[in-house]
Amino acid sequence: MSWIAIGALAVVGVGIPLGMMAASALLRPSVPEQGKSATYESGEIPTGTARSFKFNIQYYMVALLFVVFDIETVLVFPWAVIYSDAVEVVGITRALGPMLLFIGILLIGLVWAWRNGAVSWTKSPRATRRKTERGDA
Amino acid sequence: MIIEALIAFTFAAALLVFAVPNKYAGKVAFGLSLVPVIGSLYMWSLFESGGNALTGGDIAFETIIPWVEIAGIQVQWFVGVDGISLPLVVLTTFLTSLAIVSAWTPIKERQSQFYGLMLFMEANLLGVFMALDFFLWFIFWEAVLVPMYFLIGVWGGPRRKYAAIKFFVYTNVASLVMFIGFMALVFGLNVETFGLPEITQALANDQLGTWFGIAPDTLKLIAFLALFVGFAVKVPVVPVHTWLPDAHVEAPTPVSVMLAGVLLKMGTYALLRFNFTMLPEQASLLAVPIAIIAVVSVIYGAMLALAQTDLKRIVAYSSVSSMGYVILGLIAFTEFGVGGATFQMVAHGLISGLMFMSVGVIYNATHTRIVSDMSGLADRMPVAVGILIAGAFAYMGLPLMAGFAGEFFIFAGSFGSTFLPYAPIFTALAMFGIVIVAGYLLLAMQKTLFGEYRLETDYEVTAAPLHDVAPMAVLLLAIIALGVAPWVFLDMIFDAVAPILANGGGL
Amino acid sequence: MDPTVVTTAALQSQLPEWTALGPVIVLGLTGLLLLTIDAIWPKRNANTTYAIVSAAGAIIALGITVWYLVAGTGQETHGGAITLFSEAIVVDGMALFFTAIFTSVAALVIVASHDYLKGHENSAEFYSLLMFATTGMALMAVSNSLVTVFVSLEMASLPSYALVGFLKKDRGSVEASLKYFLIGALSSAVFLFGISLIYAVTGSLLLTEISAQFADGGVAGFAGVAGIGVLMIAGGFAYKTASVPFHFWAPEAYEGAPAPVSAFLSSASKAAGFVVAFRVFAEAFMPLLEVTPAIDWALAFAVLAVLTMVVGNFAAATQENVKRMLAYSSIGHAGYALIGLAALTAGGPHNGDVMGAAMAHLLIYGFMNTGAFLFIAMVEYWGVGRTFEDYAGLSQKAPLACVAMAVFMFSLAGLPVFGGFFSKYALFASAVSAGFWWLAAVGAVTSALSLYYYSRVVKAIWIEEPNGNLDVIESKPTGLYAAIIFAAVATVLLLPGFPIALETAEAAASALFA
Repeated sequence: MSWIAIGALAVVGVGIPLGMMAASALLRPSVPEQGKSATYESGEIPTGTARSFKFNIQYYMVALLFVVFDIETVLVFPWAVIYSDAVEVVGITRALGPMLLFIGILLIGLVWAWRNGAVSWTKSPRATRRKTERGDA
Repeated sequence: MIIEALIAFTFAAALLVFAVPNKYAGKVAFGLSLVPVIGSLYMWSLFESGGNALTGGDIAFETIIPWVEIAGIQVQWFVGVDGISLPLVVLTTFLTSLAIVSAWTPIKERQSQFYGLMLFMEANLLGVFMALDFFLWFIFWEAVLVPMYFLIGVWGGPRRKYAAIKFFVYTNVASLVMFIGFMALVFGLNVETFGLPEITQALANDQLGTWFGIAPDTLKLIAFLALFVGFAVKVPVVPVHTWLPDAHVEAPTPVSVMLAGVLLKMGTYALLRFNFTMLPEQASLLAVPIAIIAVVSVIYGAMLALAQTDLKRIVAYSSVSSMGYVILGLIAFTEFGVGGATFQMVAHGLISGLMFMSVGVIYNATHTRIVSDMSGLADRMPVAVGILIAGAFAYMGLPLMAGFAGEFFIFAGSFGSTFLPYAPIFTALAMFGIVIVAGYLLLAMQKTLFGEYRLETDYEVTAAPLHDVAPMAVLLLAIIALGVAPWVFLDMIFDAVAPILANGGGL
Repeated sequence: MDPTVVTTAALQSQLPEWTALGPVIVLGLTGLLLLTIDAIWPKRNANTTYAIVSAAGAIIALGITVWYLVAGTGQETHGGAITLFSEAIVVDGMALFFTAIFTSVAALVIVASHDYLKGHENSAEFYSLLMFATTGMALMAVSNSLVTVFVSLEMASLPSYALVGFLKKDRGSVEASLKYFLIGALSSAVFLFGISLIYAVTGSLLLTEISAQFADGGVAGFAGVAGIGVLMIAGGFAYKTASVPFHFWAPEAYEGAPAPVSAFLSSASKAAGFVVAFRVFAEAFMPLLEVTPAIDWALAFAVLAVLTMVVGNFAAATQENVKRMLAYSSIGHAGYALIGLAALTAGGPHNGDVMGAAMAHLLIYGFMNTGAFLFIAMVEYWGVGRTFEDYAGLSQKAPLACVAMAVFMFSLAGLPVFGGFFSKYALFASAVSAGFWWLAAVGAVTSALSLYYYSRVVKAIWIEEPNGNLDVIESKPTGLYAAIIFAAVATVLLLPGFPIALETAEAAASALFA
């Protein structure tokens, strides 16, 4: 029985946006114009194709490091919640030790990545060249 | 322990020679190879014959050490000799030393590798003749092929690649067939070890059960055929002989000596040990086809030899012919037949070794082996030619030479065989082969050695160097010694052969 | 902690139980140590230091493993398997046996890489990735739960993808890495889905509990779901072991990768796939063969084994590029090892023999295949080409290494002169005694075929004359030479020493079926 309510919610949830789009399609005036189909309606003219657009590899580096520590947080959080209870049950060594080890491993990784220039924003030779060319022009 | 010492020393000598500088490798290898000669002679001096190793007789210098158990069957280090294997062991050590000396002239590059491989091959050959565990024996058997492949392939003549591959493929396929056939037999037998005596005696006691629904008799027949095919390639007999002339022609002289002198005997030795000792009933069943193969090998091999223009090919095909006699002696299954065949293995090893050395000496001097390119060499190199002529007469079976004793006993044994139907006819046909042998050998000698001196190639022929002639002379002495006193081997051979012939007939 | 573990083992009485994981810990710490060194002196690029540190780590791990094996840790004789972390980890004979394979292959590859990486930047990454991959493999060997299996599998795979693409300026290497990664990601997904299905049916991820559930027959109603789950997991293993029809990545990856990495992947990574497959199927899915005959995974593996042996060997026979030929031959060898799973039967008396023989084969294969790929690495190091023709006459320049290569080739072909023959024979003979004579027959025929293409290499390096291709050879790389010679010596010595390998392996495998 309780599934009926969920079903009804789903119907309403899908129905409202569909209904709004249908209503607007019926009511609005239709004035097709070239400017409306452009990627940026603000007048900016796109150059190149969407696929040739590349991010600097260093965005990925930062993102990767972020993900690592994001996941770490997910693990540390529940650990922190039960920490004081855990200390009572198994003692401080077995409650704290593994987490220190875990964070230690991550730290080694972070330090290594840092020292090897993963977070320092160096410029690729091509980007530098392009910038100077533009500056010359 | 002497067998282990002998094999281990030869392996160590091979490794040592690999490391010796090219310049000294030949001399060092010869020096080291004398130790196995002395060792095998020492074994001979201690040896007291006492029946056949496989049928429950005494096994001299026996060692059994368990190695590994695979799928319920124990593999062992099991070595020992009896009256059949000891003569072949002596032949191996003796011929290897002489072959090494005969390599001094023709082998000009990568000597240390060459002599190392020769000694490596000798060690494995000794293993083949002394191993009494099937697995151990098979490892040595296959390990002989590897150095041979390189010896032909690296130091051979112009078509060495083709010859080496042909040799390798032929003998390996044959080994695989033989191995699978024998394995089927062993799995059906329920034996505990791969020891050849145990397997032989289990077969004799009819312990063979059905295996995957194959009845014992069928299994035995399959195994016999697989083994026969496997060994026939090695011997070789017509029609699986085609690798032999190619291998011989391309191989350098010392390698030919080893190939004809010892490697071919592996095939006949294995035929005797496996087919005829373990499965005599099947041999009896197939006696006529095997005798036909033997006689065809004798006649066809000799005819092919008659048609050749290359001296080395003549000797190579004549080996096919001579091996036919050995098969005939085996299938006769009489004491004289099998004993004579075993003796002939040794005799032919010495004689064919001598013939190949002679051809090698001629080639060293003239750089040609084509009969029509030369004549009258006897004037220029009298000693070598003299020995060559003596060797050729030994080949033809001149009395008081080793070849005579072997062939005489083979024919005597096969003529009266009751095991082989139509034995007299087969014997008579095979004896006809001797006539052809005499024909082609005399013809070739007359053309090349006598008459006016003439040589088509631009070389000055002088007397052969001492280290080329000396091994030939030693071989000739050995051939004469065995011809005069064949009983030094024959007694122990007959002693070891007799137990095999429990269900054979005649003499 | 499992209270049933009897602590009578010689080592546990002296050492805490977690030390059973010693090899894994040492490997992981070595990887971290490498990163630390590189973090302290980032610009130094001390190739030699890294090589020494990582080789020492691998050898120490190997030493501990062998010590445990000899002392009987986790084995029948000393109180049985040691389980840790609520049974998610198990240390037993099989785990130690395979750890020995991984660490010895890793040690060989590291020693050889020292020369290969000379003048290369980022060598610290290479060694640490190698160590982390080895750690992952060692963890795979001790995994006793589908979760640890998956995590350790990924831990071994991710560094492998990076290692394959390590020559980042070489298009072949990068392309191989991408293909390897994409197919790996796909198969991981399939594998994970299979795990979830098994979990859905049995309600557990521990192998022992899954086994108990299947044995009770409590899953009879979900046989279809369980069957699909088993099939998907089998597919995941087939990918990791490069078995047909999941082998397409292997020739590309092995050919494109730097040759030491190819050696590592085709020997250690393959063995790692097998250890997990052996444990999961022999431990967790064994009751299925008996209780639910419809889920006949042994038959599935038999089909895979036949296909892999045939396709691998035939494809290898048609190659002109030596490295690619070896890649296909390593697929063929996966087919031989698969017999270890295919010839299992419910309660069969030969199960331990069959799997033990497969393990022994993987050990010997570890040495001979690594050696062969390291020879290729040396040829790449010299800059001699890649085809059979380019190899012509190499023996005139490097006779010792060419002797070793001939040993590897003949041993891989199963010529009865070296270790490879015994292990193949043990595999086929035990398959025959288990009743699978046709698997043995296919194996024997394909091995005979393999002699053809292996002997082509021998022919090229020994019998052919050099055609001016060898002038580029200038130096003799010591590390590569040492690794190759060591692998060759091991391959030769494993002929007389085969009983040790086989008996250890059979004991370890039999413990799984007890």
